[in-house]
Amino acid sequence: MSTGENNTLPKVALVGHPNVGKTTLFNQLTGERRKVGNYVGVTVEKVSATIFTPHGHQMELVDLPGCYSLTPESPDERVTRDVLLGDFAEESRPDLVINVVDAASLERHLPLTLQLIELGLPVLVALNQVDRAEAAGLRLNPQVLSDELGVPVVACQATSGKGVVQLKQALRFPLPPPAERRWKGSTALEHAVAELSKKLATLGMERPKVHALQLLGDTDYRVKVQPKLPREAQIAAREAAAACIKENLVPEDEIIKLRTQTIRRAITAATHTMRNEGETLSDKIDRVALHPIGGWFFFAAIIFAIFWSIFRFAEIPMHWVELGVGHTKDWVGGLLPDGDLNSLLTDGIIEGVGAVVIFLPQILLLFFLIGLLEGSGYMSRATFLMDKVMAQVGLSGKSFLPLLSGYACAIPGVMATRSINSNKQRLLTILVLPWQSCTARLPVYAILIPLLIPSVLGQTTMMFFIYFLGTGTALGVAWLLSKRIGVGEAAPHFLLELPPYRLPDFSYVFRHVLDRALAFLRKAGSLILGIVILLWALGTYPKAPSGEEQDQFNYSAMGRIGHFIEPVVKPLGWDARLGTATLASFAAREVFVSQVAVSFAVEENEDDDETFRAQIRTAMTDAKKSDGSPAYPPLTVLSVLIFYIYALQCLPTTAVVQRETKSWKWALAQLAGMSLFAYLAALIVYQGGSLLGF
Amino acid sequence: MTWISQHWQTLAAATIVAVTLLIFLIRALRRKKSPGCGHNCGCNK
Amino acid sequence: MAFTTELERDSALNLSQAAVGCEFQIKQLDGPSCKQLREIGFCEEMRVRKVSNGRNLICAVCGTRLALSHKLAEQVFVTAV
Repeated sequence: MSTGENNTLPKVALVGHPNVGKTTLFNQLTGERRKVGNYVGVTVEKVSATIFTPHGHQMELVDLPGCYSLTPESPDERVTRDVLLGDFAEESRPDLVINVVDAASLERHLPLTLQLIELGLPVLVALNQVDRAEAAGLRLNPQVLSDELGVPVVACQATSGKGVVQLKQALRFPLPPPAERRWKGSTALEHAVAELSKKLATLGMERPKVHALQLLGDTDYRVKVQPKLPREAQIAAREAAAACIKENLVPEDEIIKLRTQTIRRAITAATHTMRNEGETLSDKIDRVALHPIGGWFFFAAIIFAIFWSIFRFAEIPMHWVELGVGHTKDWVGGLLPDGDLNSLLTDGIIEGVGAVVIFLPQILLLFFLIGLLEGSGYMSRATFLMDKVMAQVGLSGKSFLPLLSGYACAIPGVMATRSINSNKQRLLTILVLPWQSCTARLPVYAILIPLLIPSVLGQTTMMFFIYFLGTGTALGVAWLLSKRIGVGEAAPHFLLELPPYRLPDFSYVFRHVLDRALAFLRKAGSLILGIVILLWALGTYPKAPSGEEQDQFNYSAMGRIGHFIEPVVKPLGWDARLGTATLASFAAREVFVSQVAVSFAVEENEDDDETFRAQIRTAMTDAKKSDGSPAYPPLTVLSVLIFYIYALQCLPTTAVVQRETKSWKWALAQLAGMSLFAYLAALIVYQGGSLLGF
Repeated sequence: MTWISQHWQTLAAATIVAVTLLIFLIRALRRKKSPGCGHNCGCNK
Repeated sequence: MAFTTELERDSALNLSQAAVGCEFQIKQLDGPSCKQLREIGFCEEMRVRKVSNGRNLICAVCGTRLALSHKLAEQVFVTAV
């Protein structure tokens, strides 16, 4: 096994079931450092980091996608299998596998352990959740388990960091020797494996014995198309399997039986149970959370609480940011005499970027609360509840988590659809995902909703309905599309693990929120900064002749563009200002607020009674049309909101959709379709509302 | 000289705007060649 | 691993039919999704407790809660303990 030749670091892979605590352990081992990339040729995320062992050796630690076994069901799991078999050309085979296993649930986790051992790789078992196992009445002896399995076993509790030091110390050179298969099959089976392995060797395959066992143990691997396997290998395997069946031996069944026996023996030797299967706290909570009716109320209450928190608790930090922006603007403005550069810096950049950055506390709070929810284990309950709804519209229960991620940002949501087995359901989920109101829309909602409803409670309710509308439309359209797209594949049946509730890993959540904050600030400092500069230029030039400064908007290039498109947006109840603000926000939704602020030339007040945001709203409320009537009555504001709910104004999303679906047709159709839908929806709302007399 | 000192702010502002536009154009063209997520979409991917 | 006769299969009790709140022992897995079921933890001779029914049923295996659809539960054959 390579231990660092050719300047490549030795590679350690973390493998285990989803939900077992792999990521928590990964974070414990690597601290802050974490690199996210991609596996070549497939759209599955690669998470890795370099660490130093206590002995001073450097290693690369890779967190492979969670899998229940090496017979994969989804693209994620396929990557794990292929990397471990060494079939990924651009991704070297790991030098050591750390198999994270749930101590409280050994019978379920050891089958994967045995499969890993059969790969002939050095394996180290991290027996995680030992505290929880102990609390459930399980007494475990890691040493005995180690003897039975033939691999080192380290007990740990990743969430509290217990055992992590021992785990790091176990990563020493020389690495443990490759593990050996723990069971011996019948003569017929062993013979079949040996023969197939010889054939594979003549085909030039690497690790023929390992591949032979894998091929005989997994029908899909033999029968379905595998990009990483030569066809002749599959043909040889199919022949070998057929020969076995002729002699009344089904290879997969026998292998599974042998593994099960081995596991049972190991567990009997290594554990001593005094398991009490009484109702745990998780069960008690689940009585409500999973109740067919109560569960929905519980879910709605949680979502409502999240939105309410965003409106209520984010106020104070948002006010601080506003003050900061205001002071910075005054200070910079004072450094230069009046002039274009001064205006660009203060009215353009600081005000424009500031208008967006003000919403950072709300966005972070949303991420924080969703992160807590995910970390607590509630999400699988929500997935469970949602399954019925998802199925009725033609989506998978597994669509729920990607759709939920869409509330933060559509892009990770689209990528999360990789865990969906069915291609059709995956495509459907991706197509409707952008209708989940993402955080980029939050500044727009937050600025406009108070124009319609003054009370915090009312605003929260309205927010709830906005999100509900987006999601409802997404599900409805998914249902309509599911009739028309593709052949209905047999939907995979619902099978989901509901891990016990636990305290979220706060350091992980905080780190996640920090990541998002930095990403947001990066976006503000680059993309939004650039857009705001260009918008300033379009709004400042050509200059209005002196004496007519208040008409600057109409004289400027921006104003002219606005008047040009006014006929198109007038039926929606908009004017040139709203039209240009919306046009600008196709580059980045948040810019809507910047553009509105700048186009009204919102100035800081002498009396700081009104916050910056309130000033924008006052400017909008006070604005009058030429006939004296309000320029932005509630109906107009509503039609803007409707437009933003439905419009796809994020080119990076379109790019990612193209990448994930491998089709420009779908990505562009989605962009065009959603834009049209948004226009029509805003049109219907405005015209319909006018007819009804609002 | 006096024209520049009178209008230096306008020149400076115009330069900044021109540079910004140039950066956007270059990035748009580069994006056509190697499509990716773009790393400043605010989602850290 | 499979039942020898249709009669045997039809007379056996499956997880979908099993009563809520009771403990069972898994006797056999029979059906197209055996492999998936086994991987997530439904193995022969394991103890399982049925926690709730409904569109998808919930059961406790090995200290973990698992939710599965009726179609899948019909492939898990159990005996009462």
